[in-house]
Amino acid sequence: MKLVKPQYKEMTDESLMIAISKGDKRAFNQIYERYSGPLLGYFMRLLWRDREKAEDFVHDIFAKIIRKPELFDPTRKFKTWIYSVANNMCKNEYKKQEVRKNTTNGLDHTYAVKDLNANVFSEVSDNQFRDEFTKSLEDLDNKHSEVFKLRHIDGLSIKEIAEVTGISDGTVKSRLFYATKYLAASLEDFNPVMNR
Amino acid sequence: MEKDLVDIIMEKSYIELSANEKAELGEFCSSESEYNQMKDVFHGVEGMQFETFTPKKETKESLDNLFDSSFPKVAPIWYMSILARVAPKEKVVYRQPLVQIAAIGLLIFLAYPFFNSDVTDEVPQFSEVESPKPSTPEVKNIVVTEPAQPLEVVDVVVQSEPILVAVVPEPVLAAVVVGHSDGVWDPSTEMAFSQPASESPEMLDLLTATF
Repeated sequence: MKLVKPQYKEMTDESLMIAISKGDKRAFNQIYERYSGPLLGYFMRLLWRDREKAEDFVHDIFAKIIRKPELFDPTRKFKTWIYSVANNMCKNEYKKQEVRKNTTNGLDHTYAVKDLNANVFSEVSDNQFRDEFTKSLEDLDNKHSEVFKLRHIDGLSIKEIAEVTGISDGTVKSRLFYATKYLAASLEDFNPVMNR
Repeated sequence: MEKDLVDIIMEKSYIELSANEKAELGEFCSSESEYNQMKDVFHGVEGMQFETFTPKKETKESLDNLFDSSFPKVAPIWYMSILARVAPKEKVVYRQPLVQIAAIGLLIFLAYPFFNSDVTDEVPQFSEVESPKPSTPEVKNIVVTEPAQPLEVVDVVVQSEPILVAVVPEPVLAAVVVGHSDGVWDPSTEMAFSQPASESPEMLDLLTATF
């Protein structure tokens, strides 16, 4: 019999979700602590760096967890599920904004990434490599850069990215390596830095 | 996070790759130099500190309020877990551990006297006959009237209420002793009647006055 209170920091996301569905607020706080920041960053990236909108989306996604925790299937990975939900919310937003055009994973290539995403990393970048890296990443089209960011910023695996974006593993790999090669070519001059 | 091609590239050098891994990577990087170039990019990105975001306090407060309104009366989780274990809702009542423990407890409680009763220790009980204790009658009021002829004074003893007693002429000799006010005859008390009341009309007058 479990008489000791659970250690929330050590619990998996999936166990926390089960606890949330039973009304455990500390489990919710733990999930919020783990994902609110990364999701805010994700929404910021996909919603034209609109902080207010991103905050609203973070609120909405966690409100969904509170109201309908049963929507989450505990046999799935929570991280994949939450990013899928976030991705779908962004897609719906694009539909609302009527900017959805010519895209393979539901995201618009032409949405205002160029201008508004210009500061994705520059806010914290204090060296030339970082600036150059940021610039190169932004020069990439959205479908390639997004996969790269999901892999390296959000920490999703190739399989998870495929689940979240609804594209095949092969396409994810293809886009990821295309982006990597592009970045490698752009940052060739920084080889010593990259080898740190 | 499960390991994928990116992790393999970051962890292994080109010569360490297995045939399967080389085959898998073949379509993305055809040579060792290309492989190393990718490795550099991945390590470079991995070492970068990306911008971190923290949502506003208002967002959390609003979610806290929503949570409180959605789960208003939920017991603490430890309590829930104990209850779920001892009385799981999915099991029929008689298969729930709590009910089973209660049933065993009840059986023990009922069976205890049978196993702990010692017949030899029993003290035989005899019935006891209570004999009435002699009570000392109390002398209350005595009213004596002067008869025409010399009369004997008789004591009248009552328990509670005053009784007016007349002393009747000869040959009446009455000793009225009332042990019970309710009129039950008591052999221990003395009671004698010498003559019927019809023979002494004074007695009737006395009775009328009394009752």
